[in-house]
Amino acid sequence: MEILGNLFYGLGIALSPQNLLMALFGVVLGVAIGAMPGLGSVNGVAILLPITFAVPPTSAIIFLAAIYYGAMYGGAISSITLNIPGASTAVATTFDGYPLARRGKAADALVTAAVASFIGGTFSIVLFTFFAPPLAEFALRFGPPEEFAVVLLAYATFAGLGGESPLKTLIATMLGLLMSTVGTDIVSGSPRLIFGGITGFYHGINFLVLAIGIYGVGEIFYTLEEGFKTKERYQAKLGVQEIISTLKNLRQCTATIMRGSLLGFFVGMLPAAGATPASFMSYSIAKRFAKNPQEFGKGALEGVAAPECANNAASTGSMLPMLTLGIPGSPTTAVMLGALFVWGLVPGPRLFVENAEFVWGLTGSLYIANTMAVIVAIFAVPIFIWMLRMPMTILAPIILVVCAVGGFSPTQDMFDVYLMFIFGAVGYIFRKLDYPLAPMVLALVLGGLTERTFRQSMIMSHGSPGIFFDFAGHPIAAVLMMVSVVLFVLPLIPMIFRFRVSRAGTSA
Amino acid sequence: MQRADRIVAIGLILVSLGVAWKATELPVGILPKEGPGGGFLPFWLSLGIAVVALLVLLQSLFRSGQNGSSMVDSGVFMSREGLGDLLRVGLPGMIMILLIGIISVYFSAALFIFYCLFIVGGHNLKTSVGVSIGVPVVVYYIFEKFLIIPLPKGYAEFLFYWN
Repeated sequence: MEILGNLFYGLGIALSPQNLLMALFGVVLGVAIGAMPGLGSVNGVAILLPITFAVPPTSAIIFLAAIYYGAMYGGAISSITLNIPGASTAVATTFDGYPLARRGKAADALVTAAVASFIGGTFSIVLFTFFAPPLAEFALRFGPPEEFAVVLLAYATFAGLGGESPLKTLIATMLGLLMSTVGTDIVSGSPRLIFGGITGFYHGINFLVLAIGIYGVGEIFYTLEEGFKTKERYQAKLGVQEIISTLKNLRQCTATIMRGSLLGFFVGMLPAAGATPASFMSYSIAKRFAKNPQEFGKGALEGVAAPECANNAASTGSMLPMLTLGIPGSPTTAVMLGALFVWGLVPGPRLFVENAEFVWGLTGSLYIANTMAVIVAIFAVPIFIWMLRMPMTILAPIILVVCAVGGFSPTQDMFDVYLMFIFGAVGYIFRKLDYPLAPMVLALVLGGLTERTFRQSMIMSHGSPGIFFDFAGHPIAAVLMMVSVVLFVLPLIPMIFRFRVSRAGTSA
Repeated sequence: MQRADRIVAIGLILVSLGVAWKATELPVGILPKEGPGGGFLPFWLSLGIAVVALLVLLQSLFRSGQNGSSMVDSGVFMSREGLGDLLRVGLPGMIMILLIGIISVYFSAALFIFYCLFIVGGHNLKTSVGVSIGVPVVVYYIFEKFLIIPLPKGYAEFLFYWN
């Protein structure tokens, strides 16, 4: 019952006026950002991160978690009303949400999305409360070789989940890793890759500069080119009556929501998997189990409930490995992980002992943020519809200015703002050519840890790479390494096969 | 689209070879008793990128002419109108970024927002002026007053001495 005691302690922290205000502020901003086409939780967390440097870490993480939650709710709003996913996590929500809206059932879809998100989130938080400490205890056994193996596993999961082209996923990952080596060599202390002493490179490339560049600036470029054409719009009607009738209909989705929540939590917990794959998986499972699979894609309520409960459950699940192991479960937690380092906190088991206030304050606030988000999401829908109607010609310049300010704040260096703009342009081109961007951000965030743990292990073993496959001395590392190798090799097999077939095709 | 894919692949090869050359300033080999040197990771990573980018290039070359087997859409990389919309906001955006260090982020942002609203967006003068003054003022109060993070002011620094 120690956990319950801790939980009440955490709820106490989360209910303090300052933290409550931060949570509310975060949820509102998160829903707003999530609802904006193209901007998702990762953009919200990245852009608003500088604001958190002024408050204590506990309030700051509560703020970021609230944004994360809010954005998960908000993403559904534009998916349903405009068929523009507010974030990648809400792409699956468009499949059935938009058809519902076209049939005049936007309110049903929006309420279903909010309630399913709430259930998914709450379910996941309960699991989080009870499983975080055991996982943290387990993580105590991790030394440099184990840490390196876990990091490698994160890359491997990403490689398996990447886009169409495994080669491009590989390039993106290596580029992120390469960017993380710019600055100072951690072992010898000498500067490297500073390209003839460019001052801006001495402090390394901040992950925030890349994240704001590709998600903020790059996304605006993308919207500028594609987004002007979206003219079809529907007004969402929402009254108390609609809410009650939808709640009654929701009972048919119970099984779907439970499955989706459980799946979401576990997929979210896996390193680097996150809410987007979770929402897709939940959607396809819901369709497979449904009594009326032919309804899916034409406006089935389950089709809205499934991805929405899963993406919220996953967002909580992905915070677990971030806090206990320092491995982000999603691009957003990758950004949040960077923030932890900025605040001087080291994720891992010691965090639960030395910064109990931080961990339990966050856990407590998850319950509160989740409840707040469902209320905000339901009752503020009309405002967000108005904001979405704000023409891109007003929204785009404001977002660009916010990006510039956000790129400057962490290092107070104009060089980073220029770099951010360049990343934006490069990210835009990469995205058009199907280079996945998330592995790049992940690799930049984890790059320092990757190199440090690898070289520490090598120093431990006097230069022998055998330490990673030493089943007797480091069993956890060895097993994780084997899993990573398998995950790396798996996506390559069909590719080699396809390449052969196409070669045979051309020569014939 | 395929041409863009190839140009980017070639660009990646050239850039990564350049980076690999710069990385040799630190030891790129495995030092006895210590493991990899400081240049090891950047050197081999950039060589790796060059090799994989070469594979992407080869894949694109081998598959030209075959329908649907290409990794990227066979459509155009960017339509003419799309490019127009992008440049009409993107280029001024770049100028806005460059002006931040000269005339302060506030004036630069105001000019840029006014340009986007009034000239590109065709909004009326009242809205345009309102938003282009409102946003910098809000940014000023959030960052300079609430968070105490000084933003770049360039040669306009003296205008902010009043407080």
